[in-house]
Amino acid sequence: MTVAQAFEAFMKNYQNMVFSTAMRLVANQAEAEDITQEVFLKAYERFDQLGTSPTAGGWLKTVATNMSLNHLSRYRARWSFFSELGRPGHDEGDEEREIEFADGHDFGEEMARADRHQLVEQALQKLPDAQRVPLVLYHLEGLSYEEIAAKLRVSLGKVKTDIFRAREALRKRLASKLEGETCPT
Amino acid sequence: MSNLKHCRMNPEQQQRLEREIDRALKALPEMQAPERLLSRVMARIEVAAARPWYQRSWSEWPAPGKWTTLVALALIFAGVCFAWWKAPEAQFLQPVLSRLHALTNLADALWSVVGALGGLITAALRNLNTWVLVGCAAMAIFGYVLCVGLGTVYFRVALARR
Repeated sequence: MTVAQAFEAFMKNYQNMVFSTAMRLVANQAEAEDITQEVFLKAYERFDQLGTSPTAGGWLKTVATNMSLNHLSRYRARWSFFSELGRPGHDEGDEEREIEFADGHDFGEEMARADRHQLVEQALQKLPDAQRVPLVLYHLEGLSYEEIAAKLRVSLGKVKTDIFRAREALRKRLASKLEGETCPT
Repeated sequence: MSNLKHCRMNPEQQQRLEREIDRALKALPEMQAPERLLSRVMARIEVAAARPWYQRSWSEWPAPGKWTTLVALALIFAGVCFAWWKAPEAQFLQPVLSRLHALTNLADALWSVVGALGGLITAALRNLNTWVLVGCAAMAIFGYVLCVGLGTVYFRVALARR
């Protein structure tokens, strides 16, 4: 097997994981493709070490995460002021259907359905960058609040606030068991 | 459901929401990478591999090439230092040196003009009415805020994703 063939097989094993990581952070297919391409070009430069390494997946995920964050930060300084301005009625009039769960059903069973996965994915993509990125880093990349704050170079309080707002925004779009409960009086 | 959108959650509900969101996100399958991605990457690799050695980054050059460039750079640096040291004594360099000297004098003259203009502006600012200066500053701030506002509108309208 030539190096090129071996690398093709390597890439087929990991391309979905890398693409998913980039896509969930940047929420743009074209940008995610470019980032994925750059990740694998970097991997090719180190393929003699990575090809047989058990930590190749972790390396790729880390590089994909860092590249995605670098990509976002190139625009964040320029646009964060505008994106952080208040946006009244952002979700009002949204015709996207919301997930409905039957009362009493296990949340996990409902979420196993592919269309629900798609709805969650869509809801995640629609979050603003400032909310989606820390949410993804916390829940999908397994970083702590402190690590996220260090990576994004923001305060710990902002990370917690943004993650809280992201969860609230997802809750508005996705019906859950909690939605069936009444407000505490 | 709409009356719950502004429902405030207690800490227990917040923790439950965190668990549910965590479970929902971790249950998401990997997204399918576009089929063209593999061919794009392999094409880039082929293009990079087809380049001759001197078109690649210096770190990828063969060892003799790297040493040759290092020695050449060292010689050039030594030559420049030597020439700088011996230049005043070299007759053939006198026209060049006198031209450089003329350029230096020109630079000094231009700097004097800039200094004079700066002094003129400073004197004018000192003698202008304070309210004129305040008005100019206010106009500058208004212009900046207008740019910020236009940028916000542009960002919202032109770049908002559906």
